[in-house]
Amino acid sequence: MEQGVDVGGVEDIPEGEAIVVAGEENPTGRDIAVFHAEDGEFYALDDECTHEEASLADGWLEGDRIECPLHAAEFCLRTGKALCLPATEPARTHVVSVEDGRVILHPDQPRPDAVTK
Amino acid sequence: MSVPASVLVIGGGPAAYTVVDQLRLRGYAGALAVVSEEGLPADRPPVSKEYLRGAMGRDELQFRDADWYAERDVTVVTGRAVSLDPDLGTVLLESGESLTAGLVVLATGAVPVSAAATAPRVPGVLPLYTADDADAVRAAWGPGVRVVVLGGGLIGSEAASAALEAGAEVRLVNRSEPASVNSFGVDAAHVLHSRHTERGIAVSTDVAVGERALDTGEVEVTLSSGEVLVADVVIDAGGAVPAGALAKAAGIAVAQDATGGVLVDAAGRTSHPAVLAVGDVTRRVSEDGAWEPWTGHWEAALHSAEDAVAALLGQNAETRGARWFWSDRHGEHVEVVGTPGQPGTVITRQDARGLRGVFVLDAAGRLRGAVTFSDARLARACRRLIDRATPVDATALADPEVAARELLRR
Repeated sequence: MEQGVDVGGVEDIPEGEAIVVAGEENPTGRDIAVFHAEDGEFYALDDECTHEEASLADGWLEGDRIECPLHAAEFCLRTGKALCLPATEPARTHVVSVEDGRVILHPDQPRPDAVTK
Repeated sequence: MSVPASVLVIGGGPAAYTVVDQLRLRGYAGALAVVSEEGLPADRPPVSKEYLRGAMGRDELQFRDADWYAERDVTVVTGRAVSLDPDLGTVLLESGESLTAGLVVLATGAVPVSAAATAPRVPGVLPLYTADDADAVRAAWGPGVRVVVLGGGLIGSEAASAALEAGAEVRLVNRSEPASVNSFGVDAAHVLHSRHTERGIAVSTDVAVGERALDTGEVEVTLSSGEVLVADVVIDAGGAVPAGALAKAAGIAVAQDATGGVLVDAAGRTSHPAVLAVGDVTRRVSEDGAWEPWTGHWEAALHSAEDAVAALLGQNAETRGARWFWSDRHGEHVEVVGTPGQPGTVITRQDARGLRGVFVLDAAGRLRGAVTFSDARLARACRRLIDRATPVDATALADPEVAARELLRR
């Protein structure tokens, strides 16, 4: 397993917000958005919407869904599933763990419940 | 009606695709076919936006590839429906082929209205509605090309902006000043309309009364004021109306006004029990019997398709809140939620970057509509505030220091 990336303290990402771990700072080479959901959990998806060029981190987080800021496509934070048009392809998920108050991103390690289509 | 053994969808846009997707997603196992003029169902909004600007390819317009339909046992027929016999459930195609199903779903969308005075259009006057149209327009413009855009609505404004981006010399001709008051409300409409001139587009508040193709390949456009414009290419963006001709010829009730549209209830039911209609081709009849205004927006089309399928299969439809649509022009992502065109108190939010939002409050202090400028979270917060239908904190709304999510906690 790839070593995790420490993306900050739990308190650095308020609930309902997200930060972007740049492609240069993680081994996938792609920007990854780390979300702090309203249930207190952390989730991570590839930051770019699967429909068009837009940052999901800038979207609207509600429950376990993130809504793309451009055309309102919604993705499930747990599974990455595209829940409505205009997106049809799922977003890639990555496991996030919390260790000693630090948020650790595990790039390219998909969540066990992730969907592939 | 009981669930039919077979369904035939006519149309190739977002509503047609959604009917197919939702039928299978919700467990419909009967025979399913879709007749589409342009082959695999494709999205429409990008045609006057990303696709027109060259930022999106033709394949990307399609919702799904052929395998997706095959995996779901959905037959896609490329063709044009020319007549419908609703009693028999038979649709005749231009090719001579005929198809029959227990239920026909009309999702034929809208057809463009010409803003040109001369019909048929003279050479050099190009329609802009389909992806093929967009290809022709893109091929015709470029640096220094003189472009006249007839019509300053959503498509005309997006086309003018894209033409400018392509380096063209652009003139926009629109009947009124500002354009799109019903869509944006008068305040936001003024802001958006004035951006054209700020960016270097010459705007004429007028209409074309004649077009003439010159031997030089140029087009001469005469306006009602007598002014004559000489252009290399003229883009005809006069708006659109429901494509209701097929339904009307089949004896299905359509609105008897300039807009037309197949009259439907919230479940997409038409005057014929074996025909549903969804999306832009429809005109919704509210519960009190009034014809609701036709808008032709993308998300509304998707919702109408979902709701019709849910009702057909005896499933619950979702509750729908404030409407939403967007327009991209001059590098700005403009979003509209609710009905900012209605009268009310207007509040604005501005920050160092400029105008971020225009909000319309009713007499009870409730938010009824908003137009936001490249501020997705503000649009989404406003949508939720409108749905709450309770008085809002107007000071917070106007204050750019108050984050969009925070507005929901006030």
